[in-house]
Parts: sequence; C-alpha cells; structure tokens
Amino acid sequence: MYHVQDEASLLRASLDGEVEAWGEIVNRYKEAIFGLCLGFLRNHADAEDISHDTFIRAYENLYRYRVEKRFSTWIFTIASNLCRNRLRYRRHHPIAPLPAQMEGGCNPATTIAQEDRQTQIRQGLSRLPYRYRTPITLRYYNDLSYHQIARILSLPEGTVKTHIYRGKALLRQEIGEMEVINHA
Amino acid sequence: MKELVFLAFVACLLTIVPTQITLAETTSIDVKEELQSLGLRSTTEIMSAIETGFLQGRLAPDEMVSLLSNLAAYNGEREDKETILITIARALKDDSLPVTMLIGKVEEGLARKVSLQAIKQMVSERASLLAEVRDLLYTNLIFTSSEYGQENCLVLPLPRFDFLVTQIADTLANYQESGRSPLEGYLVYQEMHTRLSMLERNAIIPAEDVELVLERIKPENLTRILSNVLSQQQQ
Amino acid sequence: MHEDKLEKLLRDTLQQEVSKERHYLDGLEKEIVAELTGQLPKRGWLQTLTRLFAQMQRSRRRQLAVIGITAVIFLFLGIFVSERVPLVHGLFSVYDKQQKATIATNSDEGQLLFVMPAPGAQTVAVVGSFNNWKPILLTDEDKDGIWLTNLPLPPGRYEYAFVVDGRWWGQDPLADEYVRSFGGYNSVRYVGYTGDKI
Repeated sequence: MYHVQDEASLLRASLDGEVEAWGEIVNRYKEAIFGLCLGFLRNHADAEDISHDTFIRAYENLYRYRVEKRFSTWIFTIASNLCRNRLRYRRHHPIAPLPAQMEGGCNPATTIAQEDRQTQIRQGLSRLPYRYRTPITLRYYNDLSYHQIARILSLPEGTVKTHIYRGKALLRQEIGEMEVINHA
Repeated sequence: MKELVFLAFVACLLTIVPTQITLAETTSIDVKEELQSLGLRSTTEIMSAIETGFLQGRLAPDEMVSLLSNLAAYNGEREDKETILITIARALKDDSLPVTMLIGKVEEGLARKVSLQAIKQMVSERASLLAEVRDLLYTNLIFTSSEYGQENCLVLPLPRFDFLVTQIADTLANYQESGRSPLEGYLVYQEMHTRLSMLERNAIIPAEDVELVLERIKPENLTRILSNVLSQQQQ
Repeated sequence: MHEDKLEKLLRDTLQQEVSKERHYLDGLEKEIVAELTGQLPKRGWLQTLTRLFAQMQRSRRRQLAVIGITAVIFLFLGIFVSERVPLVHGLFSVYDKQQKATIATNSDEGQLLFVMPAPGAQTVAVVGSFNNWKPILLTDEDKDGIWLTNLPLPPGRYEYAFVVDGRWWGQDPLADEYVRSFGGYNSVRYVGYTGDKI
C-alpha cells in the first residue's frame, strides 16, 4: 500500500504513528543515505552504522520537521552531521578505510584502464580532506545542486564550489601522479 | 543639479569604500606581521586558519594581534608557542570550533606567567572538550547554521551555537581542573545546569537554548566526554 | 583529464562502491520498522500532548491563543494561591527584597564595581576575561586602603582576579562564584542584560 503513496502522505502517516509508512521512506532513501555516508566516511562499518542511526533519529525527531520544507535536505543534514560526529570519534579510534581495489571480480563491461582509474579515484577520495570529500560526494553521488549542498553542510554556496573545485584538483593530481608512476 | 548630486554621491562612495577596505587589509596585515615575527615553520597553516576565523566572524583582528604579540614577547621555547598556535588553528579550521575560550586561556596563562608547557596542556584539553561537546550537541540534533540553514528547525544561529558549546566545554574544564571525579555524572550535570541557569537568569542566553540542552543531554554523556578527554591526554 | 571525464569517473566510482555494498541495504527498512515498533511506547496522553504542542508551534495564531489562555489561567491561580497560602506570599516578598539588596550592593546595570581592600599596597589592578587579562588599575583616592574601579561591561560572564603589588588574588568576596585555573583561583561575576535579548 505504501509504495504507491507520495512522500508527503508517507511523512504524515509516519507522524501519525504508522511505522510501516516510515519503512517506505527508508526504502526510498536508504541508498542515497548509505552512499552519502560511504562517501564521507570511507569505510563500510561506519557507513552502515550511521545510515541506520540516521533513519532512527530522523523518525524520533520527525515531529520537529516542517512538512512544507524539503525532506531530502533535512535527512541529508542529519546524516551529514552524524558522519562528522563519527569522523571525530575515528580520529582517536581509527579503523581500515575502503580498499582501493574492489573485491569480488571485475565488471566485464569496464576496461582494465577504467578499473585502474576508478582505483585511483577511490584512493584519492580516501585521502581527500573531509571538507572537500563531503561536497564532492553530495554533488557526484547524490546529484545535489550547490544550493542544496550549501544548506546541508551549512556553508556559503561559494565555499561549496571552491571546495569541490579544490577537491577535484587534488584528485586530478592524484591521477596524474599515478600516471607518472605507471609510465616510469 | 541631479547629475551633480549623483556624482557627489558616487565620489563619496569611491572615497569611503576603498578606505574601509584599506583599513581592513591593514589589520589583517598587522596580524600577518605579528605572526611572521614569531618565525614559525607553520606560519602559512596558522594564517590560513586565522583568515578562516575572520571570515566566519569567530575571530577579531585585534584579539589576534594581542595574542601573537604577547606570545612573541613571552620567554619560552618557540616550539611550544608553535604548538599552542597550531592547536588553536586546527581547532578553528579543521574542526570548525569556536576558539575564543582557547585564546582567552592562553592570554590568562601568559598574564599569570605560567610555563608554556602548562598553557599547551590547558589548550589541548580544552580543544578536545570543545570538539566533544560540539559532537554531543550534533548527536542530539542540536545543529548550527549559516544563513542558509535558518529554515531548518533543528539549527541555532552560529553565534548562539558557539556560545552554548563554549559555556558547556568551559564548565566541564572547570570541573576537571577542580580535581573531582569524572565518573560523578550527576555532579557534572549539576555544574552544567547551574552555569546555564545563571546565564539564563542574567538574560545572557535564551531560555529555549537552556531547555534544549537540559532536555537532551544526560549526565552519562558528560561522564563519557570527561573520560574520553582524560584518556586522550594520557596517550 | 577533461572536466567531463573526471566528473563521469567520479560518478561511476561512487556508484560502483555503493553497488558493491548494496547487499547490506536489503531488509534495512524492515529492521528499522522492527526496532521502532519495539521501542514505541503506547500512545498515551503525554505523546499526544507533545505532538499537539509541536503542531501548535507551526501555527502562530494558535500559539498566541494558547499563550494568552495559559497566562490568564496562571494569573488567577497565582492570585488564588497567594491569598490563601500566607507562607508562599511571605516567601516571595522576602526573595524580592534580597534580590534588590544584592543589586544595590553590587553596581549599576551594565557596570561592575571592583573593590579590593589592600592597605599599604603600591598598586592594585584587576585582570580578567573582559580585556584579555590586561591589568586595569584600581584607585584609592581617599587613601583609606580600599581600592576600587567601576567598569562598564556588556552583558556576559566574566572571570577575573586582582593583582596586588604583583601578587594574584583570585577570591573576591563580591564574586558570584569561583573557579580553579592554572592551579590558582579566578572569581566570576555576571553582568545581566536588560535590553533586547539575543
């Protein structure tokens, strides 16, 4: 029943205590939230934890959400801030980041060169400062506008653009360096 | 006649605006000069953080000039001075924390003529406390915002948020420095309650901010923060 | 690398990372629902009230109406209680007098009076968080050994100490509280706000 309802109806139903309606919201947003967390935190365990926490906390505080405002921005903001909290914790309790090489075999549709490039990007993303990595994830995974990213991260739009520009410049450098090493 | 008035207005604008910009640049240059006079290796990193602080409204040029000139004049190892400034810079730029309390403590330590080691230790502990308190507020969905976040009902404007973080962190620091056990969560909570109540009673902080904190933060949260910071300092 | 290529590469990489880990997301909604259902208390009067209050916060008119009605109720309640319970009435009047006495002793609003008895001292200064701990000299014009100064200060919480002939004194009897700092003491006083609230 819930999978055909629009978002506003689902949120109203959730507010009325229909937890299953919230389940449908989770279903619609789980990939976006998980992708955001993975991009920010660069490890599966934390991305899983924070995704889970985001949905629980969002539900518990749903009565504070203004239905006329954009829900995606609200829930992405919660996820983003929980990620920052976790990152702070990780500085003192580090764990292994995402492996550069993806396990489980290659996608036959991609060439070896493309796979190398993706490995380089993964390494580069893990090495990027957090302040560059977060807007890049929101832009290129979550496909958000600069304005939306600015609201989620509580930054001026100009700063968002600068951080994305600098992050990409660093990634380009990463690829460039790897190219030099490969050809050495 | 109208054209003359308009031209006069434009002329005034062109005179006043560059003067203001020049004055602002001069102040930032003063800070840069004071920093360079310390002869530190991390001058660029520290200056970058200071400029971030100016942009965010979290630092004032005259307070930085005062801090840097007092540090420069103080008898002590250059490395210790650098560590103190780096701690503040990283708290400001990397962790996006309000650092007025840290600057105040450095100035107090210099005025009291305590060792730079003691000041270093104090600044490091308080920076950790600021970060832990900020993260605790985030975990309890008390956020901050720039003008873009005003519509989000979970946020406080940055100055109010910074003030809350600073006051709570300062309370925890005072508790720790008094030598009492960090495990007495209820006592720590009482201290925080008293501080926020005094600020509210004097209308320095809005009642709704106090209610927000007391509603969401529990004694065990504060015990955890103090234990975390203690174990970080022991590492 | 061309900008478009890099952006495509970023998108593909991030997508692929999530696709590889997608299996975790299977059943997440059921897990969340189960957890929330287990946690959910029965919908009692308190939860209903909380929800009503949150809804009211979104309607300015309703908010004002509720505030107005509540104020009238408490006004009548207050009059009723104070007239019938003499102890309550007495307590409040004593509290008011104490408040006024404290304010009269301390200082004018927006100002802090610093007083330090130090007969025979050569210099007495106050240092504090109001000016980055730079010394501000007190004066003893009538030479009675009582040094003082009046500082206009914006609303806030201030830590300070006295420095008498180079020696720090951190425990001012007029202080609201004391805190430990660098192995010594600081005094603390508050300057209240009577203008627009922050």
